[in-house]
Amino acid sequence: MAGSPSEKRGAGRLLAVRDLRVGVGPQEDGFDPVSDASLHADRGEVVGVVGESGSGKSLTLRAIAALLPPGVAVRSGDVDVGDIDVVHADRREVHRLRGGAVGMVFQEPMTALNPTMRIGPQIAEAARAHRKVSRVEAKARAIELLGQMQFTEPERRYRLYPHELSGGMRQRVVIAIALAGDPELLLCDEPTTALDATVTMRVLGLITGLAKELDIGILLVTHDLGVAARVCDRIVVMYAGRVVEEGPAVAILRRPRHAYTLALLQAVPTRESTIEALRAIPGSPPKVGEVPSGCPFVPRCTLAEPACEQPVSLVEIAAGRMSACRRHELLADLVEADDA
Amino acid sequence: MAFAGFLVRRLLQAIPVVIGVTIVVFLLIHLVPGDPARTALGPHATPRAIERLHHEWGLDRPLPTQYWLFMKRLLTGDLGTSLRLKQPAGSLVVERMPVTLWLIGYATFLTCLLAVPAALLAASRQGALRDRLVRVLSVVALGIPGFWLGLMLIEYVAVDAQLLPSAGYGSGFIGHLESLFLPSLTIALGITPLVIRSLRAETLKVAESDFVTTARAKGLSERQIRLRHVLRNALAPSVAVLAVNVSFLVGGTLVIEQVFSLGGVGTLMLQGINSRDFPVVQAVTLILALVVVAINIMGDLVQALIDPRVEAR
Amino acid sequence: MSVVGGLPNGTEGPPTSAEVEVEARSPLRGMAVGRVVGRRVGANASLVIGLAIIGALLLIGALAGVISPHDPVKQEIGNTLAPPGTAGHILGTDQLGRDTLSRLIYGARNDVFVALGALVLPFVFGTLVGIVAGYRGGWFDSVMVGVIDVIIAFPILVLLIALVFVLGPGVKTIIISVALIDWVVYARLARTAARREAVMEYVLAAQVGGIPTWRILGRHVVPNIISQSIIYAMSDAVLIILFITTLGFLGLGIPPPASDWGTMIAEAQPYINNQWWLAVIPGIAIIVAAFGLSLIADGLAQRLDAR
Repeated sequence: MAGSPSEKRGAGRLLAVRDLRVGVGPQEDGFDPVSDASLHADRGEVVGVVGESGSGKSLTLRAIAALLPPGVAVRSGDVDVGDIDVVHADRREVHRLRGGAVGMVFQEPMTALNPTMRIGPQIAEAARAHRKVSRVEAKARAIELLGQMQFTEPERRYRLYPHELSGGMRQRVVIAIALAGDPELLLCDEPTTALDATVTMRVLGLITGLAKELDIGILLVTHDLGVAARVCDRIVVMYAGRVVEEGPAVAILRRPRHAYTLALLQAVPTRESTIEALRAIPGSPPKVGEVPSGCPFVPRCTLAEPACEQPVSLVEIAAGRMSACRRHELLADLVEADDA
Repeated sequence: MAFAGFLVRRLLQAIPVVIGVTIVVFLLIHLVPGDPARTALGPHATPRAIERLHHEWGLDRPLPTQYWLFMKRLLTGDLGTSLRLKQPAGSLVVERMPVTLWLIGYATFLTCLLAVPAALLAASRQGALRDRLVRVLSVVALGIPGFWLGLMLIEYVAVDAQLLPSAGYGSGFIGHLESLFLPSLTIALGITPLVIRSLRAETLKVAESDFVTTARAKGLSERQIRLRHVLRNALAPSVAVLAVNVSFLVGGTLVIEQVFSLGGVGTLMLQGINSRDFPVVQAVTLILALVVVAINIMGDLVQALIDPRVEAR
Repeated sequence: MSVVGGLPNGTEGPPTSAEVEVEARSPLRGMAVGRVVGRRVGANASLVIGLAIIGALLLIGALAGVISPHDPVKQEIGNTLAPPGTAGHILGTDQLGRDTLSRLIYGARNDVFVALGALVLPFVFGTLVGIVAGYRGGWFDSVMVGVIDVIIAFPILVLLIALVFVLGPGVKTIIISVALIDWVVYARLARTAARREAVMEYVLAAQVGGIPTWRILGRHVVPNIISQSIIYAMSDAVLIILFITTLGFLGLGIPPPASDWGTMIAEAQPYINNQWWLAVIPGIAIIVAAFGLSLIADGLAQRLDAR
């Protein structure tokens, strides 16, 4: 084959997802919870993937790590992590990907750890999966990681069982496991949903610190705009299995250019917002398999016009900003007027 | 140490159960319709003999007093006297205990030997041919009556093919292993399907858990995941199921001893039943119940060794 | 095999609304999809075959008087130990010259009917006790848990035989003995389920709303519990059939001359060398009956979504 795959495909990007479609069930009459997702991430960057539950954000994340549950498969599109073509990866490459190129942090720290195994060996095992190291070295690495995860007395903690730890501590163990193989990309699937507010702050601080310190890319899936606002450099908004808007975090949160993002923001209570200003999005997301052919948000959209019933795709509307909303110009005016 | 604490706690928990067991065994004799002494001694007994037995069994006292006397005798190791053999029932049981314990242990071992690989094979690919085969076979096996299977094994394996002894206990460790193989296998096959079913279900359930996804995300091979993460977590609940089934197994020994002419505790009980020897039947029932209680405690200990959370409960 | 993930075990078919809903609720529980699809393919076959077997056995038992070719207790002294295929005796005769097929047919009446009959008392009583104990808790619950623990501590067959011994053999004894022991299993099942339901929000809401307890139990709690108990009852029937035939084998079962498969096997023991069929035929009858019940249990379990 001419040229190295990385030159040809990845274009130097750490992560590139293009036109990803993920389906459940058989090809002919299954349905596609992720129908059109494109996103990317670079080193040292925290990218938030935001959407309601069922928007396909978690499946997108799993597809990147080749960890889709049985019965769920990539139908089309490309996922490149470094030089690995995830969609077409063979067994050896999948092994290199999981834990090696990509570390994964899960939503439920209570169930993500093996209850019958001490936490230390669970970390050491991950270290050994990708590097030819002795047991002793792996143990030292695990203790080092526990230290990095701000555990006091990491040697003693090494011997504890998951049930002897709090939720926040377990989540830090899960992060240590994810980092044990020195990944370039860390995937976090709602890492703080199961945690309470103070612990959430600590875990988020830890994660973002890592991105800068280790110079790795982080993809953070969350339904919580507050979390995204606090830690993300860039935000990708997903709705009904599609990416509908993408751009720098501050820009997205201050000047949304998709009607759905605006609606989401108006549903978030903030210090400034009054009760009157706060409003829930009317209706509910389309059921899987009943997504309209045009903009999926039309049935709930207050700004929709007849043209919105026509298929629409994600286009660049300004430097570094993408939107799949026909009314993005109207939105720009609206928000500007509001600011004034 | 936490484990010692767990052991003590578990033993203390067993005390009320053991007391309950003695109450049930004590009450057994009072379930006899009519006069138990008359039933025991048969239609030709003299009124004096019946009177004497009444007194010996304390049937002429109020019920709580009777239980009190029963317990007092029990605590000194006195389980009553066999009517037929005129010997202490307790020592009769103890004499015949080794065969029965051998059968229980051997059958448990064979059960594990059969059930663990079969369950793992079935669970390795849910719905595949091997899975369906294991499931169908275990459903069929569950319905095979032990006494019938024993007869068939005697006829076709022991007598016709001359492969193994058809009866008796054998002598020495190897002799026991050989002589007790068929009866133990018969008993084991009775509970193996139940153990397979639960180990398979547990394995499948564990295979779906989040920590298996974590293990997969680490980049471990499917083999490593199965051995290090799935098996151990599926084993703890299966040990619990095994312990429950051993209660079945203990009952099974009773019939199988009869089929293979082994002369263990079960045979003693059936002889006791035939000669209406109440103290012997009571003694066997009580001691086998204590064996089951002990097995359950051991099961819990094994579980605690496998799963550290059990200890913490 | 598709590239990432991969479809499990070739279970194809359009997703049902139930699956779509499972997916919609939690997009990562793809496992559930495979299981639901697999269930739909296998479940009804088990259930249908199982029901057919048991239905046929019950029918045979009910019509025993009409369809059996001979009187099962009539002895033909001149025609003992006839092999299967003998004219007039398709399955041969036993050591007393009784027709094997007729005894088998009457055995179906005794064994299958008694086994299913013996289920009723423990099922009803155990479930009731379990629901009350689990739903109300308190002293009643504690006492019942104690009683259950004690009965479970006994090796079931040993206690059963001891009970049959003290009560004297007979169908009534079998039913009483099974009831005295077996209810604990149903009580345990129902208690666990009732405890789970009792703290559910809809139950609490109903309580706050002043809906009478019996109504909450009848409307919501019992239906949620009962399916699991019914599934268990079918597996339990297998064990009871084995109990009854074992008792028959030990000479403690349904008293002669009534025929019972276990007794038939016991009587065939001396002839097993030369007239093997005498022991093999009733053995197969037991296995078939037990297999039918197991299939029903399996099919129901798959259908009612209980693992």
